[in-house]
Amino acid sequence: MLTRPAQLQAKALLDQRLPDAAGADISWTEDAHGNIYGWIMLDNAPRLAELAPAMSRCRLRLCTMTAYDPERDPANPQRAIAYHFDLDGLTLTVTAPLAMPPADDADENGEVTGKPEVPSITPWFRNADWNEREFMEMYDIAVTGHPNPRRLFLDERLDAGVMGQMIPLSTMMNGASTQDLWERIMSAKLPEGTTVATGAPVGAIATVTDEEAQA
Amino acid sequence: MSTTAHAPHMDDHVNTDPRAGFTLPVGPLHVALEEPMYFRVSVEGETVKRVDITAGHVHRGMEALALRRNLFQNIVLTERVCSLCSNSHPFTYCMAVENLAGIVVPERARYLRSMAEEIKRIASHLFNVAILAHIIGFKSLFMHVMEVREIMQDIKETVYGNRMDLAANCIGGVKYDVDTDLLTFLTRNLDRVQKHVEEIYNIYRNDPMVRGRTVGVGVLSPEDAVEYAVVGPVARGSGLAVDIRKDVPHAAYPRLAFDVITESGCDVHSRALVRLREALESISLVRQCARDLPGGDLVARLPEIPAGEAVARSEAPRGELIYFLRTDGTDVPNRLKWRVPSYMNWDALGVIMHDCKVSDVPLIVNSIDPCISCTER
Repeated sequence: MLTRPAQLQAKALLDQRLPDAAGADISWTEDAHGNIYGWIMLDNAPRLAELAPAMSRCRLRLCTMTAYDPERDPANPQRAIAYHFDLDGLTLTVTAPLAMPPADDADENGEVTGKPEVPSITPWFRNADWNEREFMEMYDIAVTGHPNPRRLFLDERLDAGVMGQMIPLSTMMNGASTQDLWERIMSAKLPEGTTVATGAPVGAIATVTDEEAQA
Repeated sequence: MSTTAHAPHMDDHVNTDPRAGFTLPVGPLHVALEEPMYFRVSVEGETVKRVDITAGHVHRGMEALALRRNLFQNIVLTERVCSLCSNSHPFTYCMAVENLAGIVVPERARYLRSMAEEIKRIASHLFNVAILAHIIGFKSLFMHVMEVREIMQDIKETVYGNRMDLAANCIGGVKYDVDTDLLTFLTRNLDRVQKHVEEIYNIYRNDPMVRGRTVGVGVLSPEDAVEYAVVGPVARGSGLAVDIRKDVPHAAYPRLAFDVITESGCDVHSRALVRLREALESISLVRQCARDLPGGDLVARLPEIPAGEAVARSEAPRGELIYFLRTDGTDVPNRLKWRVPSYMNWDALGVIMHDCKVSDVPLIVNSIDPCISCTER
């Protein structure tokens, strides 16, 4: 196999240069074609800021990042991010577990207000920009030191973390949202001072003046 | 060029001070794009100085959906990420499952997988260069290339029963087979396509009108190509010899002879030439698959899929496609993530478009062969 020597060379380089910065050894697997895959599990996310410069010096190319919930438990959400790199055909995956905010950060409704944090690796990998912006909005993870932390896909009015939510099509399409939509449309169309009565059935929108509403 | 008012963030309105330049909204609906993407282009006179991209108009949340489908259902789902590279998605997804479970795909299935990939690549590349001709107003060339692509569509319909989604892959192998009649049909039609593509390649390489609009336009230096980690024909058009089919051997590619096509012009013209030369390489690859197709099973016996993690990569028509799969012992993935090639190439548009002319914006956007359906999976 032509590329096997290149991957073996890459493996030797990474074994020599990364374990100290990662604080962990690299475990290796192979697929049926003899392609080599490296796996590093970090103790904590801040360690990324130490490992990223070492990976950049090894000329690793960032392929993508995967944010996920390791336990798939809505009652006990965890977060981790897997960073996938390439070096001469070898694939390296570095996984960083994210510390969730403590429960005493909860607001009066009992909802935890803080977000798990991870340092940006854009100073060493330019193409981390889009990847980090995506998991910021899709998984509600804070990225410290990102140069351009604006939304990538989602409108600013939408809550972050939508990938953790399941909105059935039947809910999306039921009358509740339609009524809200009609109220907004009718409010915009009606003369100033006229409001749409809430609770009116769709197709039979009742309108009231400000005075009637106050009465 | 469209300056439609459908663009979001219109509070960043058009600047009317000519000394400070203008901000020009392009898209999200535009004649050069079949899908929506919004570009806020800052110009000084006719020269582009900055491009900000706003995506997300058709984001479908498919990765969340994938976590509610079992491992088999996700083959169908991933085939619908995108139409032009629809085969690459289930192909790479199945490889991720196979890598995780240690499944060894039979030899015949490996060849049939490579054959499907290359047939799709030819059609996809021809579509992109046809749109280039459309954008520069070379209508007869556009029609001619689309007509040639139609032969590939006929091939797909005849061999797979569908013009876009081939449904060729399954976990452990393939769902289709070819007999002698089909192989004869295939190779005869490839003869027709090859003759036309060679002609088309010469037109794109030498025609003064094509060269006048594309040479030196939308330059991405090799250094910037590395910096932005672009992939596929965009990288190879800037001289980077990166191709997952060579770098990460899979399917039948280690047994097939082909060159990694590069061009050194780093411009729109180079990227088009890379695609046309690759179409010719793909024709050769399909022929090799048809000639050397071994006998044997189409699918491996499947073990229980264990808990674990795996990565798989392939070279889709637009470049490297990567799938990451995490399982927890159930038949529903704990996480399925895919990064499409277009995702890597969008961000580089800021560099590629810098100092280009406003009239070249659609041409340059098309030159990265953007797939919004993939990007906003």
